[in-house]
Amino acid sequence: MNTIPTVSQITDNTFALAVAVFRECIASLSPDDKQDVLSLIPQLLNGDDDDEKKSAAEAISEILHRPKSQLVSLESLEGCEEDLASWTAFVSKRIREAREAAGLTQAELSQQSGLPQSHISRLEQGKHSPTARTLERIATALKLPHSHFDPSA
Amino acid sequence: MSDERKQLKVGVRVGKGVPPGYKWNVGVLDFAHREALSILNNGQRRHLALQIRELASQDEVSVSDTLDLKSIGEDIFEIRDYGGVLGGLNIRLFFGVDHARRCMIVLGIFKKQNNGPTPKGDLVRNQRRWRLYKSGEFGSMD
Repeated sequence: MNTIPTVSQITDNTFALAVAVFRECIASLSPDDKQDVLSLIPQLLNGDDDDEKKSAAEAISEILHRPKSQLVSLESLEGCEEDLASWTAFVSKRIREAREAAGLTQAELSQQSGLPQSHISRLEQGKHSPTARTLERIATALKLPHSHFDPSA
Repeated sequence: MSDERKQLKVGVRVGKGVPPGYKWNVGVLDFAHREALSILNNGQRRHLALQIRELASQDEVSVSDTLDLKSIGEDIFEIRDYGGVLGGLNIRLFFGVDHARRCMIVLGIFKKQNNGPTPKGDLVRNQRRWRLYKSGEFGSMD
């Protein structure tokens, strides 16, 4: 007479099966990939937060599934100039007004912020989008809070 | 050569662009392309592309006055950025530097909800992508 397995037995068997499949997958990997997967298991099981665990799981999945990739151009990544227009218009005006209020030329702001003058010029013309690092440098040089230039900061 | 390994025909190229022109070629793994499409809007992608163009205009891409840039391995770098057009996203963009081909390869683009350390899985994934690129797995820009 067949015995119906308990939930605990089913769980144990499922876990054992998963481990066996995982071991089989790892065995077929290159030495580098195998080392990568093994190095991520501690993060997967005991990561400090969800970001760590999710990142480890996604990395292991990519290694095991080996998706194909190819090179594409940078142009395929970027949108058009209009997509940034409202942000660059806002921040360029803020930088120019703050510099002028401080009585500095672009060359002087360049010297005090450590940013190239050509970069400051392009920012003030709205031709470039500043990073957080750039705005921090400008804010420090002009003795203003970062949030003066970036309301989201 | 299979479709997966076809050569890149267009893109940021040495000497092209506003004079004096780009100093580096730029290629993007479509891993990174797909990741960007899934987490960023058009303006945010444009912002990141401008930072890459800026870097490609410099003689040396391993240092920057305008970017939060650090090395995460041999010839692999991580750019961190947040705020501005990125809003609440904390973006990590990874790229490798192929000195022989004078080429920057964008490997991956990830988001975090805070400014904490980059998770190990993201680092491992990008280091592996760079390893595969160097082995010729993704083709080249020749």
